[in-house]
Amino acid sequence: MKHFRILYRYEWKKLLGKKIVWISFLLVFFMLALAVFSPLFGGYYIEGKYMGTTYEMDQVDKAYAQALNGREIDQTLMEETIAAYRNIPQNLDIHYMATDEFQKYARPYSEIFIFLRRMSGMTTSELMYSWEPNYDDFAAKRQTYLQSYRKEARLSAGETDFWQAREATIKTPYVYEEHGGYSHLLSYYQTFGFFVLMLTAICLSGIFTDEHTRKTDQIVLCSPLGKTALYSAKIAVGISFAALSTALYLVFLFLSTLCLYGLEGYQAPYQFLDALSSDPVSCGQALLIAYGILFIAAVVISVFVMVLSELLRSGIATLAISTGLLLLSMIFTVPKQYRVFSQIWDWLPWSFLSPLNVFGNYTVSVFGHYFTPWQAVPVIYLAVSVIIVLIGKPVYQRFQVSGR
Amino acid sequence: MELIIDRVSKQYQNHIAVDRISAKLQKGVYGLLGENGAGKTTLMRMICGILTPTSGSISFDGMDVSEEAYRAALGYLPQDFGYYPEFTGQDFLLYMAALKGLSKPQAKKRAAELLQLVSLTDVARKKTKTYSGGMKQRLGIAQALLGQPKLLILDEPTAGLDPKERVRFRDLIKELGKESVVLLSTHIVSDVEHIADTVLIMKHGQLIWQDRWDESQGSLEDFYLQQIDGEED
Repeated sequence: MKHFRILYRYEWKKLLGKKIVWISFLLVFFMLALAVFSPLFGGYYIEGKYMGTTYEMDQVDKAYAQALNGREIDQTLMEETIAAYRNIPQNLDIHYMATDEFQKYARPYSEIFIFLRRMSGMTTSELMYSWEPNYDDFAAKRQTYLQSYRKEARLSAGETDFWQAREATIKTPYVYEEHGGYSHLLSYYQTFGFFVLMLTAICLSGIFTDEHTRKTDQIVLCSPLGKTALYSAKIAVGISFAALSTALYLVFLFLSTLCLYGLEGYQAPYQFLDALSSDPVSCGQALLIAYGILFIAAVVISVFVMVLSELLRSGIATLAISTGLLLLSMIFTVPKQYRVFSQIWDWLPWSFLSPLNVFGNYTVSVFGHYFTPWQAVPVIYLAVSVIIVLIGKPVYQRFQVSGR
Repeated sequence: MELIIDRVSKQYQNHIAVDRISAKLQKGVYGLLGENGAGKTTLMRMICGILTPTSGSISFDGMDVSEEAYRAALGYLPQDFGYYPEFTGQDFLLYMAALKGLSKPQAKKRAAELLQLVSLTDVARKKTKTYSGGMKQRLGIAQALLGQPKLLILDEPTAGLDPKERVRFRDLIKELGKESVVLLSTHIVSDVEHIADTVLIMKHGQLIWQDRWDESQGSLEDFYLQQIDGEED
């Protein structure tokens, strides 16, 4: 164990001695900062008219939203919302948000309006001009909408019942809480996940292969601990790097979001962020779950990259494959009708890092008990990580130094 | 103390790099001579356990080459190997000492001794990327000696050293041969002539000559050339 600690320290030194690690790390920091702070500089336009920076508009909406804090979305609030929106004239040549009526009457209720539209599946004009506010009708429309969505997603009868039971545990009427900070943090999730996985692939693809390219493998592999403790030390450093860099970025992301938007609304139901979810979790819980999964995904990717590089004996080939898979996951989806393939594809670490997948409707059934994606995937990832490490060990130990 | 090489072969598709070599090496210095491609480095790599023989076996004092205990008794200086550019000379030795299972105090003491032995104490805290070829070679020799090996394999140990250093290391290797099995390969026949108790000559993967050599037998270089050219004539 003592030797493992020393080797672990020196493996860190090797990793941090590489320029590419620092360049990639700082580049990701820069990209994240750009994503977080761009609303401060980006302009908000309606029908070509400058309304202010995106951040200023966010602050206006935040103030309106805070005025609704603690209110139940019941018959009364539905009626107020629809009445406010009905002040907007019909048959407009411009976008309804550009009208004075929207700014004066409807905008204070925009959060509720958007929630009603997303939860019921109604169109904007249907909700604005033809729907008569009725709580029971809204609840029925939500049920119909969910059923059609679950059917489209090819959920089994058991899964449908499972989600229906979870939906029933959500407290209704929903109570509104301003949750802008969580909304922003979850909107960065996919981009952040992409950056973290890219960084992991770039920085760790050389952990094993550098020994071969530098020809240090000869002295390392013939030393007593070179085939055993060193393998574990390298894997541990790779995992630590993935977890630590993710943690550092997260601290930055959380602190900057806290400063810009605050983190009120921890208890707000997650349905405010994803109306098609039937998960009885709050926005705060959803955020912690999603970013917790990102850590585990970074771990599985780090292990995958390290072992793949040892299998291929090439850092460049490993990087090409990892990047290729990452890019492929962004442009390709398996249609829902191929349920099994669709689920496997969506749950691969490259594809999974989206709130829509983390809180999606696909489940895993074990002895009749259903597990949601965020319950099943971390366990699967950890198990796969262990398997990959076990597969990689003999590959590393049996390396043959020849042909130089 | 005995290294037993028993009918060891290494075959790559249609090419036989090492062909059924058998030898028993006891305490002393063994000089391995042979042309480029004769199979010297392949044989040494198999003795070090970083290349698996196609057939045959290698053991040292009853320990198989694949065992950790065998590797603990081994010191290896490869012909051509790299360093970690961001490590200092001292870091490199401490890292290698950890790989060899030395405790921290042992490692520090041994690293300091060896840095002095190879005249690198003054530059011990400088990064290896700033070292000259000769300094790197000396550092390589130092790492091979870290675990006070009973079996020392040196592939071209004097390459890159200036004449003065070469003579110094020849003496050092001779001294090490009193307590260990030392197998060294080189192109410089005079090095072998000066330090080896026993000479091994390889050609086309085979061990074609193996015996003790002393000055009374004449010039080793002439004999070596005769052996290499002889069979081809």
